[in-house]
Amino acid sequence: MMSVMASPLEVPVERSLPAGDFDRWVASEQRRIFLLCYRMLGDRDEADTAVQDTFLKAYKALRRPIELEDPGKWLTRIAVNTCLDRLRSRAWKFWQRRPRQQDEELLLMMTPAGNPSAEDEVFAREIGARLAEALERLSPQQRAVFMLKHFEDRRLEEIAEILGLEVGTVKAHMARALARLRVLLRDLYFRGEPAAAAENGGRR
Amino acid sequence: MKAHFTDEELIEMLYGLGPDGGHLRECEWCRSRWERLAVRRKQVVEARPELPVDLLARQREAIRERIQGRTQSGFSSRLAPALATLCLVVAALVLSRPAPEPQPTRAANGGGLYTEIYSLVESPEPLAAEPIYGLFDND
Repeated sequence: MMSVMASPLEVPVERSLPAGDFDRWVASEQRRIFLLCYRMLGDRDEADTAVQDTFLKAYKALRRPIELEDPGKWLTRIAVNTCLDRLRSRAWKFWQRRPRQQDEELLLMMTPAGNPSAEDEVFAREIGARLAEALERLSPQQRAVFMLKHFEDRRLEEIAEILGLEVGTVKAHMARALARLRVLLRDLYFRGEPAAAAENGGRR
Repeated sequence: MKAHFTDEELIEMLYGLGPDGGHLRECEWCRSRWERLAVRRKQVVEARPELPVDLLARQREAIRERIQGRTQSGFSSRLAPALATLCLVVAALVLSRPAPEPQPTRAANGGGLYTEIYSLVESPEPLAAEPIYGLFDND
């Protein structure tokens, strides 16, 4: 196997980062950024390129001294914008077929592990696949808003800051995303339970 | 007492939308559903999907190569605009040079000019008529 990060990059970016050098920072954030890009783009190769672009942009920016309150949030913003750019350009590439075999395999590998029973694991995989498919049908902005909340549990104000949007706009995107994912989310959170509205005369 | 929250309302609350959660304080049934939901939500957020190690390693290597490529090509990328500017300046200098003075045409020989003018004046027919006469020439 090829050697990985054999020597550190000789760029004084430490002053802009909380600790460690750029290599270590890449290693610590890479998994999160890859998952973010993969969930945004739904394509392994595109996500791979987007991750590289993200860190390259970060590297370029960090060559000048900048003050970063939250490097993770800053990097997330770069990653999301990179993915949105790719999604915009993809709108023209309607001939690209997705998902490919390797993407499906990766999707299965990404399904949250650690569920106690095999039944739970199968369910988690099924939900994961359905969620990935459903995310494809959201607009890029809706997808970004939903993902930052669903997977990273960021506050709506934070999401607004990352995406450069008003909080009200973020709420509108979230409401539309939830409306489209309603059945799926109910399955995810209330598996096997009867619908409360029907059973107990809910407010709707 | 307010009616119970629907599942959808609880999910909306979970995602930062939905109605005011004050009802949860007074309704034990909704509160217990909300707590179950929060536990499930925590599992979703805290789930750490496994990714292929070799994928991440290759990716780090690619990032590193691209960064190093960028660093090495930094000089040439700065040099290229400078060279382009230099070429433009040279081209501008060449194009802005004053045009060469027009060389006076060789003056016609005074005798030849006189003969030519005399033959034109003495000719009974205009020169332009010659081709037309040629059409009716029986020779």
